[in-house]
Amino acid sequence: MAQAARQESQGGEGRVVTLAGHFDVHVDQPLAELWTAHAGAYAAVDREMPSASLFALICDPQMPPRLEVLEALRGMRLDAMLVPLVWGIVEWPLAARRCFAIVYDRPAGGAVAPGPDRSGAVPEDELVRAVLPPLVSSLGQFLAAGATHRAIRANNVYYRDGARRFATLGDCCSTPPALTQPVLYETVESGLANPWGRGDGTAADDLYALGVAILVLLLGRNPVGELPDDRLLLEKMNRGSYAAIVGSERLSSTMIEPVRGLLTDDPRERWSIQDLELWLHGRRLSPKQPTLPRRATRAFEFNGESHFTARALAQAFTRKPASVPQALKSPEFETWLQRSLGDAERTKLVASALSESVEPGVAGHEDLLASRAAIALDPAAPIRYKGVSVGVGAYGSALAGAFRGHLSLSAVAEAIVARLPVFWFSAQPGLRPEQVPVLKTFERMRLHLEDRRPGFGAERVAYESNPTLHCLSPLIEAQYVLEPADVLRAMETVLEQRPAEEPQIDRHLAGFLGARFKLAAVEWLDEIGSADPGTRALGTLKLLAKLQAASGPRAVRHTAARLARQLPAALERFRNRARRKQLLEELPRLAEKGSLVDLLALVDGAAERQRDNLGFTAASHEWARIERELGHLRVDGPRRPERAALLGAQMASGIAMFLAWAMALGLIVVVA
Amino acid sequence: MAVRRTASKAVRGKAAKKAPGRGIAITAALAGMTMLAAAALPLCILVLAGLVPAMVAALLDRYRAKYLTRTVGAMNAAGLAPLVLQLSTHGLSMAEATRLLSSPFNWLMMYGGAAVGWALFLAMPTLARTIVDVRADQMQRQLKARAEELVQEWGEEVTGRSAQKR
Repeated sequence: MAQAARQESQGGEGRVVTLAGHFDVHVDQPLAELWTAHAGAYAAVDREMPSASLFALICDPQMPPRLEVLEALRGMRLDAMLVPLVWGIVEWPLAARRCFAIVYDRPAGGAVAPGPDRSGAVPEDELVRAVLPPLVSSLGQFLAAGATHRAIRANNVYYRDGARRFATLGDCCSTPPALTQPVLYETVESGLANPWGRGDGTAADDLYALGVAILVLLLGRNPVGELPDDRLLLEKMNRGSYAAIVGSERLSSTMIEPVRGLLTDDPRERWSIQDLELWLHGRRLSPKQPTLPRRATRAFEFNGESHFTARALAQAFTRKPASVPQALKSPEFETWLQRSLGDAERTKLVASALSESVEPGVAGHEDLLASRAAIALDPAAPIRYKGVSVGVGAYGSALAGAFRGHLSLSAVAEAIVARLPVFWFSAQPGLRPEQVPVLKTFERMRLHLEDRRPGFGAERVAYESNPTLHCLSPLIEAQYVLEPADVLRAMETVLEQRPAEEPQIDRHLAGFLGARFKLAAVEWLDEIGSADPGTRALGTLKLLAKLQAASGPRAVRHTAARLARQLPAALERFRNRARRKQLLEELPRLAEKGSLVDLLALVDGAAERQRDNLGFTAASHEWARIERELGHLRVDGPRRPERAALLGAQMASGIAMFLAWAMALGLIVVVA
Repeated sequence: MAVRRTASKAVRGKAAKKAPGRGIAITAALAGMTMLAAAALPLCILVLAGLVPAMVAALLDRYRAKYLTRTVGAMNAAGLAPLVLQLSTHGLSMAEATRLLSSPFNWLMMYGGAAVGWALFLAMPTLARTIVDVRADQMQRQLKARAEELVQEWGEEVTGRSAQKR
């Protein structure tokens, strides 16, 4: 729902940007208490309902918003979740570009966690009485609808009302899922992934984050704040999340139960939302003892470090891939896996990883082998390849991050091309029916990635797998184009501002149109990739004209004028020089009208082209005939005297006969 | 001899072959002359004496269509015709035939006509050569001009010598 926005200046009230016609965002009224890591908060007013307290989040253009979650939240209107009233793209003067904006109901009570930085202890009674019940109820409905929040953390919980009686979860839509979550709030599996590679996750991930949020709100601080993320992850892997995070902190017997239940590392054993609701209603369950990962009886030495669990070894493998082939071939590894760890399933998967891997000596062999071995040893973990760790459901988001320089694009793409996600699925305990389409999607992604033509490649995959990723083509990036229908308008705006810029369809725009503009023909995309400037210009015109025909605007004078400058090369296709000249003279006149459709009809009209082709064929035949006749004349040269002699004799004979006849006639006249 | 030089080999080759009706024509001519001699001897003598150049031309003619014979014969006959008319108006007498044949002017008229025919036959090939050459040059110029027009209109591709754009 990209709704048009317009910027207005209102004298005396500061700058205002209007969204959806009647939501005014006050540019000069930032709301620091609602500011997030990747979105600025500003006061907003609904002109149709001025009494409503609203605020707008202006999203970081680097972060694709979660449109499907926005739709779900607006439809469900949950009590304990910020309800987005409207969203769309606005011309944001502070960034001098277009940005995505979301208008929410403003939580009047401020952050639940006291203190200027939204940290501080919340009394247990307040937490159990005022904060958790609405949160759990709304979260339950939200999760039941198949959505995930992925931004549950202590500093993202607010009081909806001024009396601070009803808590609500903050924004979860302005960034990709879990991107802003600290490792503390993420499960081991999700924490192992790069922030761009965490994905939507499951309800269990949200419940884990809720458990950590409860703990942090209770304590008023992060109990492991001094630990770096890597160390915290290692602690979680080795000791289990509850032990690693809670450590020696003292919790009441009431609160130990939900925290322990929610921080269980095995998602099958983790508390469900129903368990939490039962607990809130007073049913007390016996605390679950967390199941720790299987430990080997003795350590496996890899790269100077001792590893007791398959998960820890997998993580070590991905950090030092160069040493992996040697380690995997060593008899010690086999012995450790079969006897010390005693995990038959892991042993089979590792054998599979080794057997299907590429031949040694091939570039990237070690990285691929390390990645496959890591999947085999820790199938629940994300796919780790060349230092990039991405959950199997987050490759779209990872590609978006890669194009913004947050991840290695080649690593993300190579992982798909090397079919690591397919191997990941094969390593899971059982392929669920809903995973089959995902597998097909990966196969489609792989085919696109291997296709280097414009309109395909990593760009195409990024736009197909990220419906909310705006077009990153440098020409129109700042225009925040989410839909093909908006491309021409954006291009026209940019070209109007930058006289030296030329309209061109680069790989990003081609990928964007290939993914989202189904009327775009593959041949046009191929033409865009042509080395011939004329073919390239014509391909560009065809695509843009189709866009204009499909969704306007009716006149794009600047775009047409710049394209007209490129089109003389395309007119070279016309072989009739006079027609070509005539078309060249007509180009500027048509460009002035701003109709790309007319421009295309002029330079690529089927009837005109056919006429030209027929004319050329006829001319070629005529040329051939002339050549033949000239050849005959050349051949005839030596024979010409003989022919002249015969002709002379014939002429002499004719003249003599005529003269004789004339004399005879004269004689008869004289005698008569 | 000039006739032999200008006639083409092909034409001369064809001329070398005997025409199928040639023997019949000669026989018919001899029969006609015999009948003419029997009927009007003075006229026959006048005609035989006057048409000697035509007969020589017939002997020398190598063209199948007998262009030399036709040319010389026609002009020779044109020169002879007034004398035949004069003889016939004087009763086809031997005395008149003798008188006519004894006049050098009459010989000049008969043989001069044949000479004009011969001269015509010798001069025409040169004129024809000029005409043929002019016509060939004109056609060549027209064709080249049209070819140039085509290149101007359609570019070098129309010749098929340059790489096609598509």
